[in-house]
Amino acid sequence: MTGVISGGGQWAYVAAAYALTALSTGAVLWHSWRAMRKAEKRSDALRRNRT
Amino acid sequence: MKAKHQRLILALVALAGVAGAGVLGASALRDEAAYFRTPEEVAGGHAKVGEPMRLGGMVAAGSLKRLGDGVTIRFVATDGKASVPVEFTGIVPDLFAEKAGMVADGRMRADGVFVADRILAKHDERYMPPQMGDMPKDMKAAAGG
Amino acid sequence: MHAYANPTRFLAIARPLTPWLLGLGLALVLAGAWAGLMLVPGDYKQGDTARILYVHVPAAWLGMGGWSALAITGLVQLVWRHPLAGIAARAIAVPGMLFTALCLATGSIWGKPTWGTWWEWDGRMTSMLVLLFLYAGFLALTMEGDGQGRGGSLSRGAAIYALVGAINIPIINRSVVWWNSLHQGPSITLRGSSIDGSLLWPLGLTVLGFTLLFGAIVLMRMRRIIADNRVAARLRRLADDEGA
Repeated sequence: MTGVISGGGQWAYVAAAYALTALSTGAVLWHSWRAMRKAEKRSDALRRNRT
Repeated sequence: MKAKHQRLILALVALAGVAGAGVLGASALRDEAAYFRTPEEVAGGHAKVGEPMRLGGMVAAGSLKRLGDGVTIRFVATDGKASVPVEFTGIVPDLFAEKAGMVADGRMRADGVFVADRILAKHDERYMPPQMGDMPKDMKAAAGG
Repeated sequence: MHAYANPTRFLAIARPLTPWLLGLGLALVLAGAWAGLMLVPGDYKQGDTARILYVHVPAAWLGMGGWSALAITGLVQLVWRHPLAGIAARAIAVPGMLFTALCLATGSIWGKPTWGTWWEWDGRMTSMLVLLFLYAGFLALTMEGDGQGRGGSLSRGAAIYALVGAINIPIINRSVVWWNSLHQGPSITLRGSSIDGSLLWPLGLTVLGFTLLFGAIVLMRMRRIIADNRVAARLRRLADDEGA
């Protein structure tokens, strides 16, 4: 009841928020990149086969 | 070309219609969607004794007192237009203090005191570094550890 | 054949642009997070908890901005039937939903130490949760089975859904003004910022950085759909040749 938030306990909340953001954004970035590379490789291979 | 313009006009008219309906609905919900009642609304007779409700306002300066039992607090919630005395037994969030916003769940007692069974702190939109904060000295000391 | 010409022209821009958005976005996000965690002081009342702002605000902006973009693609699809509209819409939905979920999650993590609660049904939080469900509904509407893709196009129903769902965006934005809410009012308005400049600048870095990353995700997902479409078209042609 001091009107301010103080002490080290709050870093757990900060760390949780940043870790969650980093992990989930990283996962979507990684997945989008992998799927794109795979699809474009398949497309390029098919084109080379034809010519 | 003609069909494209027709589709554009149709889509925009439909969108305007839905937007209008949305705004109407939102304003109709004005009362129901309010998360809390203000002291002014309570003073205006919006609160029935014993009915569960939520009261939000500022903790009036100099009004916060701890009762003899050590766990019950009393303060006055105000919105600058009206004020309501509040009583609460329990733990309040760190940010709860005089001249700060709060929201209380509870009900009005027949004597006009709002008895809260839960209190949340309401933060305002200001963010600034500690040196700039207009904190009273005792709070600054508490923050400094 | 503008249906084919457009993706080709689009790829000529998207291919070189993707690594730039990725690299610059990552650099800005890392710099902003570093500054927000290490360089700037805590808030005078919230202390270090206030640092969650630097990830919460970009997530909120991209969750809402994502749906605004989705609504525009819906309009373009309905009116002009541009072949890239449906591809873009499908590419936007997943990152839009990601950032909406992150906005809710980081807000909840901030709310516990600040307000004293993880979740309350106030106007801002409820309307943001509605946005999350809208994204989930859009993904369900546009989901396609393996190999059953319709070329990444958007059905009329899905386009209308994207357009109508946009009503929720101004509601989220105004919720803290229209209704008494637990969430505070807007800090940054046309009249200026009530976040002091010394705490504000890392927010600029993370907002710009996450926006670039959002763009990179959308481009990568669009390129994937276009490549899949080309493979499907070629396989169909091969099958036709053998059949003849």
